[in-house]
Amino acid sequence: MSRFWGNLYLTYRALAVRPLKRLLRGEGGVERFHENYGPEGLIPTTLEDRAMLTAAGRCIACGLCDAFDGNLARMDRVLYDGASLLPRQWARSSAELPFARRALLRLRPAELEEAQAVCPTGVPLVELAHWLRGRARRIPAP
Amino acid sequence: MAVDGELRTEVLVVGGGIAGAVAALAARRRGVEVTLVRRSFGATALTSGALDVAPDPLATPRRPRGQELSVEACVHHLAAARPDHPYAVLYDELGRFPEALAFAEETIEGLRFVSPIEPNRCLATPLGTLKFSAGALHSVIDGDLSRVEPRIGVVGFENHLEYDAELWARLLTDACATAGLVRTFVPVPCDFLARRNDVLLQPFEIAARIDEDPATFVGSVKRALSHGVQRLLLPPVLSRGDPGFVLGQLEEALYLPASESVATRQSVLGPRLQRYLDEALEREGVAVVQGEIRAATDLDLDSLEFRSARPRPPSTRRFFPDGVEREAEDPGTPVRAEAVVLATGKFIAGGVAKNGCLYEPTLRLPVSVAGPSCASSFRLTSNEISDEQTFYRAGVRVDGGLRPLDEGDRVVDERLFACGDVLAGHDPARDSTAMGVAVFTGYLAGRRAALAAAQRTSFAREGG
Repeated sequence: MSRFWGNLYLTYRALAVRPLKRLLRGEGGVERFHENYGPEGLIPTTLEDRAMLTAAGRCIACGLCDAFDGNLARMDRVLYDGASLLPRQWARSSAELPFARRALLRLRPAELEEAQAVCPTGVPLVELAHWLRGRARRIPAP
Repeated sequence: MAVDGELRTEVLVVGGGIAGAVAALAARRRGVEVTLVRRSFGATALTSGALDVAPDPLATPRRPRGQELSVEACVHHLAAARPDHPYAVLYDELGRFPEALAFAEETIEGLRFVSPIEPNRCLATPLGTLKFSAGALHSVIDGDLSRVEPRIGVVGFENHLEYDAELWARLLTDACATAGLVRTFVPVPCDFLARRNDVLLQPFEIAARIDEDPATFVGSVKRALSHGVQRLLLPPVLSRGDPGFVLGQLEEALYLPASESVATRQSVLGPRLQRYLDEALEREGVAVVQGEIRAATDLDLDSLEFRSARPRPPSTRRFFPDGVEREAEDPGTPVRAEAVVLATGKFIAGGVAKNGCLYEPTLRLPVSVAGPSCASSFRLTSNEISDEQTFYRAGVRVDGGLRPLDEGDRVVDERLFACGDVLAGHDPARDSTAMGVAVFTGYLAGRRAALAAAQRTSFAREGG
C-alpha cells in the first residue's frame, strides 16, 4: 500500500509540481545551466565558440609563434608564457580561464600580428585573443 | 609585394618552404619571371637544422651508423625498396641528385651538404642522441662526431632547466659508445644565464640574449672551460640571425673550433633557415607575395585566384568527392601564369587536408593513400611510433615529369608541377628524406616549369 502512495506522490510531483514550478520561475535551460555550472567556470558553447575552438585545434604546439610574440617581453613569465598558450591551453577549457584573466586583460591582440603571420597551420591568434577575452568575461567571478 | 588587379607571372610557385624556394630559384636561374605565393612559414621553419636526404638502410638502434653507405647508395636503396616513394617515381632522374644538392648549396647561403659519395654525417642533438643526416646548416655540419677531435666540451647553462651540460655530456658519451665512436665529452656549464627567471627561458630568448651581449657569453664559456678540450659543442641557441659572429668570437677567444648541435623543440634553426631562403629569393629576384592561391573550378589552372592570407575560421562543410559544392567565398584576384609549381607541403602547412575526406585544397587534385581514396585515418595510423604510418604518406601522385595525375592516371595539366611534401608516398617525419625530397623535386620541378613557361611564351610571341 505504501508503494502505491509513494508512486502517486512521485506522479503528482512530476505532473503538477515540476511543470508549475518551471512555469512560475520563468527560467530557461540556459539560465539553469549558468546557475548549476557557472561557478565551476563552465559556460555554454555557442556556434561562434565552436568555430573558434576548431580553429584553435589546428595548433600543433610548435612554439614558433612564441618567438614572434610582442607581448612576451612585457609580461611576467609566471603570468604569460607566449602566444602558444592561447590555442593549446586557454582555448581548451573554460574552467581554466579565470586563472588566465589577469594575463588576458594585459594582452594586446595587435602585438600578435607577427606571431599569427608565421603560424604554419594558420591559427587566427589575434581573433583568438579577442574571443578568449570575451569568453573570460562571460564566466561569473568565483 | 602587393597585388593589384591581376597577378601575372611566367612561373607561379605556391608554397614558401624549402621545396618552393628551391623550385623558384631553379626556375629563376633559367631566366623566367617567377612569383612565389605563400601563406606563412611552412614546416621548413620547424626543422631541426639537419637536412635529411636518405637514411642508411642497415641502421638499427643498436647499430645506428649502419653500414655507412654513401648518401647516393642510400637514395638508390630507398628508391628500390619503396616503389611509391618520390625517389622511385623519379628513378631515371636520380643521377641528377648531386646537381640538385649542389644547386641548393650554391644559391642558399647557410646550407651545407656532404658529397653524395660520402656517408651521412653524425650530429648531436640536445637530447643526447645522435642524428644521421646528409646535410645541415653551416653552423651545425662541422660538428660531425665521426670526424671531429676526440675530446669535446659540451656547453650548457648552469641556471637553466633544459641545457644541463653534465647530463648532456653523459648521454652523448653513451650514444657515441653505442655507435662505436670513442669520444670524451667534457661538461662546460657556463654562468651566462644568472637572473632569477632565466631558468624558464625559451631557446629563442636565450638566442636573443646572446645576440645582445656576445662578449659576456664568450667570457662565461671561457671561465667554465677545463684543460684538454679540443672542440666545443654548443646548444642551438647561438643567434636568432647568423651565428657566424658568435662562433668567430668563440674561436678567436678560446682558440677552439666550435659548432652548434641540431635543435629539438622550438627550433631557433628553423626560422634561421627560413631567413636564408628569403635572402636567396630576394638576391635572385623572385617576387614573394603573402597570400593564398585557390582554383575557382576543380583541376582548372586557368581559374586560379589569389586571396590575402587572412586566417579564416574552418569550413563547416565536410568534403566528399563529387558531393558538396564549394562554400561561397569573396572573388579573389585572377592569376595568369604560364606554369605553376605546387609546393604546399602536407598536413602541417595545409597542402593536404582532411575534413570528411582527404583533399588537396588548392586545385582539389586527387589525394592518394593506400586503400580507398576517400580515407579516414582508421587502420592507416598506429599508436606505436615504430610502426608504419601509412596515412602520413598521403599526397598527390605524379608522373616521372613531376606532373600531378588524376584518378585515371592522366596528367592533369601539362603546365602544372608538384614538389616537396605534397607528393604522395613519403612521410616527411618518419622517412628521414624530407629535405632530400624537397630539394631534389623542387629543383626538377622548377626547371621543368621554367621550360614549359618559356615554350608557351615563345609560342605566344610567334602568334601560335
